[in-house]
Amino acid sequence: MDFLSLFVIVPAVAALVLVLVPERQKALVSAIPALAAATCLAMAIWLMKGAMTGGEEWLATLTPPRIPWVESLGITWSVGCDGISAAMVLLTSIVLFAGSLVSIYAPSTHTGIGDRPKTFFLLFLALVTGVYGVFLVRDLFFFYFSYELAVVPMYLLIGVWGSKDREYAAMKLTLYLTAGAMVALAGILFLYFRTWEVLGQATFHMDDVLAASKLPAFNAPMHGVDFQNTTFALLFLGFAAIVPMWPFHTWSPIGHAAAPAAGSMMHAGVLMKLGAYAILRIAFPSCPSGAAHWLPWVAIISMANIVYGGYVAMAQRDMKFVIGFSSSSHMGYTLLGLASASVMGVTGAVFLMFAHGVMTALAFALIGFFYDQTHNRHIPDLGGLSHQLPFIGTCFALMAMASAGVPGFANFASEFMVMLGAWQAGFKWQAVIAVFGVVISAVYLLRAVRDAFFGPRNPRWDKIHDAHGLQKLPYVFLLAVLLVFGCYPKPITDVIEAGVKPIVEAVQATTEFKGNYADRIEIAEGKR
Amino acid sequence: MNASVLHLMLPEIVLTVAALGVMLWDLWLPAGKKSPLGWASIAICIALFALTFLPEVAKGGTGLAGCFTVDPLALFFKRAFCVTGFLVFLISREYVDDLPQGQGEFYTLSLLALLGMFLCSSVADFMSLFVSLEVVTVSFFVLAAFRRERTTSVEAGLKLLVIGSLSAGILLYGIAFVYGAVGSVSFADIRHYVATGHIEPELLMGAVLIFLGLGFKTSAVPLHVWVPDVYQGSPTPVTAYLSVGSKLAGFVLVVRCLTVFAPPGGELSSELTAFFALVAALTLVYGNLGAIPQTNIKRLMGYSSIAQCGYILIGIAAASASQFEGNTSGLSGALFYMAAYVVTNLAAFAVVLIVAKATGSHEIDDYAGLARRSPMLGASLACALLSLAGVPPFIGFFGKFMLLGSSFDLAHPELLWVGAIGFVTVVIALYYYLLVVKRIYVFEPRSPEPLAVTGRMKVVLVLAVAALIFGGIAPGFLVRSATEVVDQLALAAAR
Repeated sequence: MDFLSLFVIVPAVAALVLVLVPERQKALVSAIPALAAATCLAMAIWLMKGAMTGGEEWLATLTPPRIPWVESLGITWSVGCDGISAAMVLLTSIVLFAGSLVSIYAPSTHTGIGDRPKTFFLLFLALVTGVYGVFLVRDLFFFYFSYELAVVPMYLLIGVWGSKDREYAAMKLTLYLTAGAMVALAGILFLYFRTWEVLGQATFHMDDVLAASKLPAFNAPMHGVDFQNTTFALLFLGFAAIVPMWPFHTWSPIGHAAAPAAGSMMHAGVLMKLGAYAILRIAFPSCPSGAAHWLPWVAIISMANIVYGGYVAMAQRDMKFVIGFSSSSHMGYTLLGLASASVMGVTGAVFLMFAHGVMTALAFALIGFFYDQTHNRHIPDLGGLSHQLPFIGTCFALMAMASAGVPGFANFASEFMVMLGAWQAGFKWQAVIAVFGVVISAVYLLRAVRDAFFGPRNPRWDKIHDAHGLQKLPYVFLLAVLLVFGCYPKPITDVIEAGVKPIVEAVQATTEFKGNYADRIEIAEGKR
Repeated sequence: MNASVLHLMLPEIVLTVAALGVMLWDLWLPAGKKSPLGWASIAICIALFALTFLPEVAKGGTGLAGCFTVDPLALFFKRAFCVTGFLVFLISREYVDDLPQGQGEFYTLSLLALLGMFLCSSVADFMSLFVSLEVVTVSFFVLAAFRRERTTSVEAGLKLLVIGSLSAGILLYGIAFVYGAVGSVSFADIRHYVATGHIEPELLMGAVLIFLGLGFKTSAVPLHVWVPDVYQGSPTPVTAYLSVGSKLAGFVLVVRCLTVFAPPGGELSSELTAFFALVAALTLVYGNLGAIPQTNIKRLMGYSSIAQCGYILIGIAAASASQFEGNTSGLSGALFYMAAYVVTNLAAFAVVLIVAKATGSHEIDDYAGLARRSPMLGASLACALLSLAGVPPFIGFFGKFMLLGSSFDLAHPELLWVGAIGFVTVVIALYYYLLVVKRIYVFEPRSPEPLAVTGRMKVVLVLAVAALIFGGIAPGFLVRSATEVVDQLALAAAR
């Protein structure tokens, strides 16, 4: 079995082994997922290290031959990895590793996953299998398969192990994301049947779809409407539900708030990135002129994410809702980066997905730690928590700084790249508003830190204890990742950029792009 | 009658003898010691499955003056019916063996219904179609009313009888129209007539009435009205049998009639495509919306069964549009989905039966905390329902993917709208299946005592869930079989 498929196989096999382990073997039940997570992390680090030294050529050598799966429909098991996938796989592995540690070393067993840990880890591993599948497979059928596999286990993860409003939140999340997936599936099927028409053979492989999309017959109008514009709109809207793009974001904060710590970490850290990744992986390369047609609108909608999401986050009093709305606000920068369709902007968007994933995983892990003991996330009730929780309080303050875009953290570097890219693409007003968005996020994050962790000691929380020993490991680990990539982002941005370049250049080569952007770019660069 | 016909009909002959044998054997067994009848019925299904692979049977052919045919389609469905019978009898043993009396009648009637299904898959003219269909239907009238001391069961039997008779009338009316137009009831004659470009209004009228009448079995709108009541009132093993066996018997006839009325070169298919698309859309909307407010699991399964019929009809509509040429993934998707449906639905009903045996209730609220009372029952029912909802990695996902995919073929844009309805209803379906899953996993049980599962049923459930997952991850084998069947049908239809 080839190396890349192992990322899917390891969690799947771990889930299978877990089925056979009896529930009462508590140590084994938590050791298996931890072992799988550590294996995946080691493999992902090796992959990223190889990508940093060998570049795209080395990643291309990892691509195994296609394995026929269902011949009559043209389904193959084919995996592949470029710079974007490598970064996302690393992110998934980091969050998976930290998430399993947080679940195992939870400070109490009252909430968390003390109840039925076996089922929890089983669903968690199924979800992770799906996530790795989305980032690595190059067959549209398996892409969709993995996407759905990543979405549905979340229902039970929130429904069973969640907190406030968990049933409503779980159902809303699942139905929103499935509805989005259905819209995206329509787009995928359009691509599939058009490729079949053009190439004369049924195939779900992305390379074949891309090869077909280069032929003029691929763009023939479909019953009077432009094929690429329609298909891109379907793919974009479908996947934008999970980004989450305004106004389809309402499932997201409530879903994060209700999920258990590891569930929120996986969800806000990784699952939300599937949407932007899918848009970049499928919608951009297969419909470049459709992308160029719609992206200026995306740039405008992304403003709603950044500003509206930020203002709503300011009004929240529940700590998880603050972070939840800040997530949809920050994902606005990713959308803006994608909309810029410039190498700088899209690279920044992918890097932001990575940085935000790590940062938000840290945030939910920290909230999970104190919520496990306080059973209260209402910010006015907390106050002065850093007296009792010095370590957690420090980590939280550092996390807030990262999220607010303080230089030195990966978030700053990536958001800066997005703004530069947007400016380059001529979205000057949007870039200015995006800078303003950073101020908004500083307001609600610093205020949350002040109100929850500083101020006079609150005797109500004297019983709770700080993280000690191995419990500190996941938080230190995640902070270290943010600082390392924030202080020296070049290696990872080089890897991402190599993956982004062919996708962006295809969009820039379309006539639609020339009409929409080129003159604005020339103005921006002072050529006119 | 020459020897080769006897060979071709060997499974049916064995089944007839076996059904009568079980009836006679019952007379010799003392009351309370009837369990050998159940084992015998299970063994018969295994034997029949093996018989379909016998070279004399598997090579296929036509007999009885063109009334009886064995082709890949017939064999595919006969094997599916064997699996259905096997699982239904295994489940039934949990229920029927506890009854004070009537075991012999139950197994005899069930085997006779199986005989009817076998005949349905092999019919080659409209007269034998009608007779075979009635063998199934009449057996089910009695089976539905089997618990005659319960009014709900009697009511179920009566409802089935009334709507069944109505649909039989519609079916016969359609056959009469077709006979009037063509002057023959033989499938081959009618197919030839249609393929040579004839398009009389009475022919179309006849075809539509026939498909409407068959809609009684497949639970398609408008003859679906019996489904929720009969599913709720019938004894649970009968409901399970009805939901799978009877539906598949209807669908094999729909596919068979499709090769008659929509062959390559025929002119009826665009009207029939519109008809199927309309029926599919109505069935999807009715079944999925009707399922939302249900509080009884058997009624829920009834509405879900109507909804599943709608998805299969999308594939049938795609097959009608493509006239067995070009992309036939719609029809192979329909066959795949039916095979998947057998295992999925019977796994769900196995759990329903065990829970009802322990708690005496079919209320969905009594499934609260099922995963705590018995992790295995909870997981099995959740897997089966999620497979019905079309969630990976279960087999139902792949079936729905093929069926919905077939409606997006750019060569047949007239099906796009029904595909879009299918997409919307998938989300609705996920909602009501998740409502049950929520009770299983999220809610606290009303009573903490664990539910006992017999070793035999544990094996059945583990195998069924393993099949659901394996079939979803590696669907290649089943897709290949279904595609081969469709290719052979296309060859035969073009002849």
